[in-house]
Amino acid sequence: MKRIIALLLCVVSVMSLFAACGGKAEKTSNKGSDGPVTLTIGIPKSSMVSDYYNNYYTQWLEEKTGYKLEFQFFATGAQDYKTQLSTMIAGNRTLPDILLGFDLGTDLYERYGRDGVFVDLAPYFNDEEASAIWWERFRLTDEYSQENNWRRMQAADGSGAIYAFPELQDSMIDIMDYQVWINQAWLDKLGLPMPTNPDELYDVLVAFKTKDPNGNGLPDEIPLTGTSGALSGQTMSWLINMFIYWDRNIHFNVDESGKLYSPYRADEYREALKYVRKLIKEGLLASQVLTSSSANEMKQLVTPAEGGAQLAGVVCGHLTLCFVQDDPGILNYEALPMWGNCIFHENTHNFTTFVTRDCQNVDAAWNLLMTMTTEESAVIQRYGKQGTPEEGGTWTWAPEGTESIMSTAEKPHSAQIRLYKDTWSTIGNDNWRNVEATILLNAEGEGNQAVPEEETEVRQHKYDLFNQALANYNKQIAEHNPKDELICPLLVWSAEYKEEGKAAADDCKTIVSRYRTDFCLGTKDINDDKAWSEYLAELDAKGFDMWLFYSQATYDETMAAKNG
Amino acid sequence: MSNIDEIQIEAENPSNEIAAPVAPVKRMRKANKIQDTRGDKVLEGITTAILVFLLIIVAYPVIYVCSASISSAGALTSGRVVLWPVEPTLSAYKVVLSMDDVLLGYKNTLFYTVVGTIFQMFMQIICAYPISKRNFQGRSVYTKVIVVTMLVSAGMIPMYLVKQSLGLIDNVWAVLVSGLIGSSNVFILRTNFRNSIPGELFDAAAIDGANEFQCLVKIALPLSKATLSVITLYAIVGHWNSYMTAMIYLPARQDLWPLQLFLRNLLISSSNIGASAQEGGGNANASNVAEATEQLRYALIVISTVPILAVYGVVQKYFKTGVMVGSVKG
Amino acid sequence: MNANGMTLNQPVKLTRNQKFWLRVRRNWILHLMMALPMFYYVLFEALPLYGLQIAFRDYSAADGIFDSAWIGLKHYIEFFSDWEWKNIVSNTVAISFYQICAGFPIPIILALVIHINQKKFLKKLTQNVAYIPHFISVIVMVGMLNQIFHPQFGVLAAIYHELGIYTVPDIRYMDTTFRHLYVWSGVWQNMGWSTIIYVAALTGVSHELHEAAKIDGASRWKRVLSVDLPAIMPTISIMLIMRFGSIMSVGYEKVYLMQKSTNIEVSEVISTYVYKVGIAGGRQSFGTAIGLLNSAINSAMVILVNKIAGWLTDGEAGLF
Repeated sequence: MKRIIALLLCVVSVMSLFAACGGKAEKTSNKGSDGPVTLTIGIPKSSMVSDYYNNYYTQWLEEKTGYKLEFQFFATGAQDYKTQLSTMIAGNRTLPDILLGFDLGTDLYERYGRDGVFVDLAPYFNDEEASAIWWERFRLTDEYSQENNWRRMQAADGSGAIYAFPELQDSMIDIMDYQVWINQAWLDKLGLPMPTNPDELYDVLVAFKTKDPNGNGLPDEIPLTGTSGALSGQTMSWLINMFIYWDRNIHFNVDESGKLYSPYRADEYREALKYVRKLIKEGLLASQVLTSSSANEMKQLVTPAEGGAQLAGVVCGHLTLCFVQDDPGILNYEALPMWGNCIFHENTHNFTTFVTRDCQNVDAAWNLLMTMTTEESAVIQRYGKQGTPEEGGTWTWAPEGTESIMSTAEKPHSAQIRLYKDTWSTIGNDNWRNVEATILLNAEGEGNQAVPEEETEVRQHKYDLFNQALANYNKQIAEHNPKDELICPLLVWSAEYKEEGKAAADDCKTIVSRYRTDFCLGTKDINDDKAWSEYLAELDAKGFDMWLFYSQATYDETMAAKNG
Repeated sequence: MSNIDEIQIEAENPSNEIAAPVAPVKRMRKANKIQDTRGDKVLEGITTAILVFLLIIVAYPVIYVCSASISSAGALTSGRVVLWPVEPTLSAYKVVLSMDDVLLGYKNTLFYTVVGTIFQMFMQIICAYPISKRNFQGRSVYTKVIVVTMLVSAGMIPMYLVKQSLGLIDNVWAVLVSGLIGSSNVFILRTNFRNSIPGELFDAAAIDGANEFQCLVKIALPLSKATLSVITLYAIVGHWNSYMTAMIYLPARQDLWPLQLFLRNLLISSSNIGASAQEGGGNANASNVAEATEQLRYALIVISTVPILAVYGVVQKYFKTGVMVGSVKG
Repeated sequence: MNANGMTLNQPVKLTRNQKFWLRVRRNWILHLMMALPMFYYVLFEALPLYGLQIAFRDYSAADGIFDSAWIGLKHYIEFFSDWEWKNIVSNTVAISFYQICAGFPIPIILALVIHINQKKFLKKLTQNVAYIPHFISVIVMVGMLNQIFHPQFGVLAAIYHELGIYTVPDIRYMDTTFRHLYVWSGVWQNMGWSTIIYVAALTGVSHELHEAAKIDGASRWKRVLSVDLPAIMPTISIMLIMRFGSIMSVGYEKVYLMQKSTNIEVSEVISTYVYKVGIAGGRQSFGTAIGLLNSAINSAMVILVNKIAGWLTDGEAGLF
């Protein structure tokens, strides 16, 4: 018996050996002469896409361009595909023509660009005719971000090269650094007014914790919860901005005389950290705020267990990420008024698409990217198949003058799209579940969709919340934020400055973030003056002066260029 | 084999009876017997408690994962699953088993595991046997080679470059050849051949005219069943859980990816923040890439772990006879 | 007749060369057996060492290994001038030692416990169940840790809730708990597996010795100390040597999955650093350089411990 099994195993393995050895991947030629042009796209494989080839978006692209698209799949995790790419480059392997959705980080992709692995796309961007589609779309994006984005696209070495093809998603909702929701039902139950400053917020949180507003007799309420980095869930940013203006990407503010100063050294920052420490110490702020960045974790906390009670009092995070779709629990929540500074972030602008050196036909690749940038393509990437539900689609264009869910009496908005179904988190083959190499305008975003024909109370409330939050935000920006002159713009260092000062800048940023964590968690005592001066001393030791110096220089140059 | 079984049975049931005719010794023995019993009882109690504790801390998480995979999504996300399934549903399994990737991954993993293990065992055995012979002329040289290569490892990139120059990239052989010989396994086998098999057996066989191959196959291997099964199991588990080699050496051959790689893609996609988010400048993986659900994950976990457990269940009966690694010969 | 087929009347002197080839011919089957493994070793272990030189070069794929610029020890200077290096190395060493101290004795103790205990059913059950965690892959392991110690929904939280405490610390990501979580979860996962070898070695202990000890009146416990333990010493020392051989290889995967901004100071080890900066970060020669450093330290440890083991047991134990 054993022998038979052993023999069978041997036969099976030998057979499969031959089968596996058989097919070697061949790179199809993309010379246009024999047959249609073929482009290979390298893409991290998404588990949400059931089939990339038999796929509505793929077929749409092939139809529009006349090209044939082949896929080479990479591992999904960022470190994984970076490793794969790195080994392929080290071994001089043939890369796919286009890399789509590779979050490499500016330094890395610019290095690859300089080494010649990625093609410089600047000639195409500067060629008016070739890039007409892109520029047209680009000029429709919000003005405040156009300048920043164009600057970020340029290579840091000042050569004017552009190595990455950007993805820009404008959405007024998504670029709010923090959206904060408060459980109005609990406020009503405890007879508390809406808080309007940090102290009142503190009192409300204490009441949530001690007075059992969910009525189940257990002190299981989580008064305040948030994440450290999920979309619109920058809780630390929200809390600290109650005390001092802080842009987590800029790191500097401007004083009256045009000199930069660091909020990290300011007393108000220390006050902010004291406040956060107090919240954490007294169990009012869930500790996930410093470690969690996953949407799933938020949903876990906010969605009540079946038959169970609600647990979350104040929630900081994007509405669609915190609440399960169509969960009636959302009806209990209202938008918290903002009283601190409010920050917008172009956090949906990614530079993750590249054309590699092994692309035989860069013109064709550019053509494909241009097709992907068109309005229709952008919308398909986000929402799936075009058409009414009877036709099997999930969205259609809304006729002129359709009211959008963002419309209020004061500010009417016209919708561009009518959405029937949100398929984003389901497995399907209508698109690549990945918005890439395109520009999706605010007007085409989910926040601006047409008012659905069948409306549920839950959905209506959701749109109301969005409107409220946005209105609060804009109000603060108009009335409370520092004047424009006191806000430092995005500083893009030249290659020379980077050479001299980047190490110091990175070290200082690490110190700042480590100490912030330590102070908030109580590992180091924020109330202890000695600990605070130790922190400042450490910053100095790591080269804070250099960081300040080069930032100041860049700021002066940027201002001069603007005004001059 | 039966000798060893008998010995084991005796070892597990030590008899405290010792025949001795002298009366004073009897009294002394009686005293010893009482002491033994009490001391032994305490020891027995302690060891039992430890084993029970062990069972609990090992079994609980395992049961938890199984329960979570058949609980409803709602119960999972709100954390109501503590030990037993809540709202049992097989929906996750239905989805997972219908994913083409999963079936493909299974096929590939089976292939790598079976073939890889066979190759590995073959190579390790023929490597360990010669160097276990004390009078083998090249023994020390070969051993030194193995030791040196065990100590110094070149790292991922040089290895990649070698395989690349041999044309093994995007070829299934790159995976089959990785880790083909585990030097520590070779030493375990060598020690087993050397110390646990009486040299006389080989001498007798040599006199009967057997050559080394026959010695290996007819004498050494049958007497090493236990060690061999342990090493084989090491190999099987190693191959079953591996994904890194496939990930690096088969980037363009998605049809050859093992199950663990698909599992990893599914599990890690949402917990991984890309570079631009760390730079503070973007949320690349947050709003423009979709996330997988909790439910799917647990089901996938169970599916990828259960078969290997089954294999273990089959192979483990060979352990009964004991692994003799460096045991003292009577 | 002697081996050359000549009678002993004429003493024949063989040259050293002839003696050598004589022996080869006699053992030709064994040499043949070694041929394939040696081929593998040369090709896949020795040859990559040649490519190791990129640790001393500024490797660029376009130039290839030999044309990349030679920069000597520049990579090492860069590593040691990064203020983090002390942290990284000390984390690696600390975690490794902790792992060995916690993880090494436990399987031995466990094997002894199983061996001593008389309840057959319990022994079998434990042996069969204890091995299961080993089959769990690392991602699943970390996922389980995250779920079990979840401050609101985990088992730990449930215990706290029972005691009436609702503010549960999030021990998953604290810098004070990282090492403990990492090491003990590793122990949990691997203890059953290593126990196999020790249990097997224990059952192989000569029965006569046990009988002799019993006659001398030794209690069960004393028998463990005086008979069982010494008998499995060679096994123990081999396992220990092999453990030391990977002392600097705190595997990057599990650490990387457990790392967060709150515990990164204590969790950054050499392998994660090499991986993030070197391999994934596209700096292949830098990664290789530091990896080589790691490897060298491991080797030194193995050789050292092997010498000690040989010295302690008079040459009995020892890997080589």
